[in-house]
Amino acid sequence: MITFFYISLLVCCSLCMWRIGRGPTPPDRAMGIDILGIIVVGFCAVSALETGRDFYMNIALAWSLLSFIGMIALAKHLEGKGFDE
Amino acid sequence: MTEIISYTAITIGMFFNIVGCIGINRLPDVYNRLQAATKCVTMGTCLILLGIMIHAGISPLGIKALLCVVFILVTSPTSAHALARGAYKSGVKLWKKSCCDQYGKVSLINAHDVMKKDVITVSPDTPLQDAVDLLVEMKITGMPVVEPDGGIIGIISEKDMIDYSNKSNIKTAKVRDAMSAKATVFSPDTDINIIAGVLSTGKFRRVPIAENGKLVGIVSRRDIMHILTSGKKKEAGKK
Repeated sequence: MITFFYISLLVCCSLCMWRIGRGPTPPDRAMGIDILGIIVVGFCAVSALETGRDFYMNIALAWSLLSFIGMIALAKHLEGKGFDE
Repeated sequence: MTEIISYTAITIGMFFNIVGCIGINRLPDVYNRLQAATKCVTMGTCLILLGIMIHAGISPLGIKALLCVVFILVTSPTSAHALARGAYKSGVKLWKKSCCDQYGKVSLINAHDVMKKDVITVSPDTPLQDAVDLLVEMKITGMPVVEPDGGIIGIISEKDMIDYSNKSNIKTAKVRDAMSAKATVFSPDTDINIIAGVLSTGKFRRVPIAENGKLVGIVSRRDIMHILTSGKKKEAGKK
């Protein structure tokens, strides 16, 4: 069962990676990174389920916080001027 | 029992995650993708974390999972909104089949704020020749036809005059004969977007604004252009 969870999360990750790689606009890539961050939280959760250790959830919390701050910063940057300028 | 419930929740969560990730690859533009991804992936991940919480019960792991659920529910839609706004401001185009763009419209301005109040008008019994002279002299392209008591009965434009001159002699005609009698009239508190929509259909160049049937102003294409350009006029002049 756990293996099945890992496989589906890996499928999600690869789909996100595909979008990050393909673009075509900067916000598309930023969105891919944002979603990838949330998927990583899911990864940590499944790892915590597998091992029964709670430090994985600390990583998940920190990861979602950092990804949120990063996304807000990226969004502000996009609002100000394009990536090409 | 708790094991079954938690594993079911996690499985459903995985399903939503995969659907969301397919969405970000299949949908046509960044806004659609953001919508799909944020909804599905947020819900999927929250379900996974809830499953963990049910599995772990009241323990450090369970409490942290719950905390993570709350945190993701707050942050993920926020960052998606910020990203969509950033994408819009950085000039990413909407998909060509998107039906409307509420965010991009001119903000709420009423006809009252835009209209010209000192309108050049003409009475229906004026000779058409005088009206032609007046249009040319004032350098305008059309004017409302107004009864002496202020009621609008039509609008006369260059197009009406030229049409009429093709059909018969303008020397003997009156404004009443050549004017378009069905003028589209708006009230002063009409949203300017509606008027802009009417003006952009190509049929009218100007619309009279009336309150209780009396003319109070006129909004032309040029007036709409003024709100679109306001503030940057000086910069453009320098270049």
